[in-house]
Amino acid sequence: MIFSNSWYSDYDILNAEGDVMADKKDTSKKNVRWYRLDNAAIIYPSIQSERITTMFRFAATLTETVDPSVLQNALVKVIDRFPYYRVRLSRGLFWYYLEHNPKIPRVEKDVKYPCGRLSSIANRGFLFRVRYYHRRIAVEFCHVLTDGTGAVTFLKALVYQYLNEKGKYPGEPKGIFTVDEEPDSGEFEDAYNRFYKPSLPLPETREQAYHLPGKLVKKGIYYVITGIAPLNDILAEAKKRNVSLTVLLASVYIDSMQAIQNKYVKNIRRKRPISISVPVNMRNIYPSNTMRNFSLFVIPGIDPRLGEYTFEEILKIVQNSMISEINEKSISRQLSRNVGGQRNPFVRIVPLFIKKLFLPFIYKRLGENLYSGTISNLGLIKLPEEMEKYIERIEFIPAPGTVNKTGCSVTGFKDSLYISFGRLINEAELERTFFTKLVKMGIHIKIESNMHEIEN
Amino acid sequence: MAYCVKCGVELERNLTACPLCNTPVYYREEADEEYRPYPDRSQRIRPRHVNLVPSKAFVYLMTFIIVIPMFVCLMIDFKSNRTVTWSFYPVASLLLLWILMAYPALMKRYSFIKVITIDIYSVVLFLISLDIYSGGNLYWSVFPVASLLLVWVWFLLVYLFGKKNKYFMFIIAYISTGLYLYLIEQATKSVWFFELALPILSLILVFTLIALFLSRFKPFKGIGFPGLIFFALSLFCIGTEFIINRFVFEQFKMIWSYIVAGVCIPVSIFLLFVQSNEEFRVYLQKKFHL
Repeated sequence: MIFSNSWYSDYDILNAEGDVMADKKDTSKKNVRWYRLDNAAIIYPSIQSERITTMFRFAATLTETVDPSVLQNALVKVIDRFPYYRVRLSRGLFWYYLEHNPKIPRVEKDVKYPCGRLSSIANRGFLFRVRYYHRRIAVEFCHVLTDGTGAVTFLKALVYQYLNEKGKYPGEPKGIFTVDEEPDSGEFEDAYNRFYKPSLPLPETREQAYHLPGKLVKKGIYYVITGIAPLNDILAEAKKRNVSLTVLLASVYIDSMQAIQNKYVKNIRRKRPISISVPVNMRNIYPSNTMRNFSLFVIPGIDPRLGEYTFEEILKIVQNSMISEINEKSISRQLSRNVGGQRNPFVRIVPLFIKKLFLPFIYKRLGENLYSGTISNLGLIKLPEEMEKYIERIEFIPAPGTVNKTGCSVTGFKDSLYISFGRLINEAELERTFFTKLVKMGIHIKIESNMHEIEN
Repeated sequence: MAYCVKCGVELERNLTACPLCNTPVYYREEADEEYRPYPDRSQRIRPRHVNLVPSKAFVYLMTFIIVIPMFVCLMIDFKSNRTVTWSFYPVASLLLLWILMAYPALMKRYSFIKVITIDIYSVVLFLISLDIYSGGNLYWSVFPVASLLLVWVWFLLVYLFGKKNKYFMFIIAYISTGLYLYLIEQATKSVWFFELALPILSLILVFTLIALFLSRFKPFKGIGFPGLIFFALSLFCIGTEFIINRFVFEQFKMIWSYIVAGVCIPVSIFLLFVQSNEEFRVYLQKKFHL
């Protein structure tokens, strides 16, 4: 009966919630709290390596230099508002799990190459870290914990608390988690499992996509290029073409990849499809306020073996596939396949060390191999007006990947759009093509990078 | 405001070249060291941390798992024999297993040497108890016990003097190994210690100390150190053969050691030459680098 359907009931959530209450009475009970990994997270501990760090970063640049001791105080207070992030990763016989981490997280100095691998000793077992540099506060999250939405919620709460501690008035906390409220039980849930529908048809299979050529750089290096564009100009450009910003950027991305493939692959039969994975925030589709992973992706793409596509054609294809794929019915097939795999009794009974051998293979096969790049658009980040005064910018740096080698993520804040590329190869060919295409549209781009000098 | 002449993008003021196309920036603005987008320090690469010590909860789980076969063995044994007979062996083995696993977990602060100590001593106790239970007094267990204790002494020596005083460490290791061999000789009632074991052991000590002393000097550092070891090895072989042949045939004739020396000494001279001749060393590095 252990494999009955009620196995994935709300037990864990209730359990967690119950312990939150118990904390008040008895602090020693904290060690009892634990969580299953959510459906998206189960794959990440097994694929982690020196290069695939599964870390992504959100950073807020303030108007004043950050005071580390105040930031530390703020972090200590904020972390208890996010009990599902105050965890460490442990190994069970069949699955990894997260358990309460009694240690206190520490802020640390920022480094040249962001999103580096977590070290359980240096990081006290936490799966996220908070870094500061001059005026910037950066949080880097491991994908095991949460997706972009969760990380940005945490960053907002941290900066809000920091400003409070500094004696500033950051305004009414509209939509920002504050330290004096209790976590809602919905924030703990594995929403994939809640909205799982059994026996849906499998998603259509896809071909392996084209990947950027290039040799990987030394371990530990991660080049980041951020392009800053005026938000209104780029929105106007999208409006002129009657598409959304995500569609416009994904189309430019596909167009750039097409140009690169044309340059390196002359034989038309050797060409491969070009597809871009666009993460979808499932909280907009299903009613959930979980702070753990809850995103899936759609993969719009073109097949250059059919001939060269014009930019207008790409726009149409991306636009149409976004419309047809981003809806509850279509995306539930992907969700159903993923959760179904996790619930399969034959999968469950396999010991973890054997699962670990297969998961990287599955990740490649069903994940990175299917697309040529990722463009993750977190959208415009809104904060209370009083708080916005103290913050200059918010940017988002994607997690490094070895198959696609380059990833892209986008956030808007105030009147700028921040397009960040992270790459594990030396040549910035994709970035160059991408940004010059935007420049040719008449959009002003300002470039920043962590490559200060020419490095050869 | 600096622009890349090739890409048409504006560049952040600290950049010396366009990050997109590597074109250098001309007429650069003055750099603003106060706010470069990223600092220069890199994240330290740390080795992965492996925690071998089980948690207390795991020990509790294993305790219950171990207790069940223990009880089953005892019950079956009692049912047929009315006393403990053969079940002593499985029960003692399971107890040993439990100690080996649980000890580091139940200790508040543990170190490698503490864990090794308790592990070796519990295995020693286990062996002695088996021996006494089966024979009534110490019989075969003397040999494994003495060997285990010797291994423990070696570990302890490395732990205590490994970094501080290597000479002292080797001398004590020599004495303890000698004592161990002497004990074995006495226990087996044979005569070979003073004639055979002690001279060979002394030879090892002498060569180790000499090599250790010489390795401080430049010709014997780097690739010269293996050369030194090869040289010492061939001398040791000659010396050992001399000792053995004197013991066995009561005369000295070279049979095999000169072949070892014939191989090792040229190799060692080559290595020492490589170490001392920089030009040759660099030449080899250039031609054979991987």
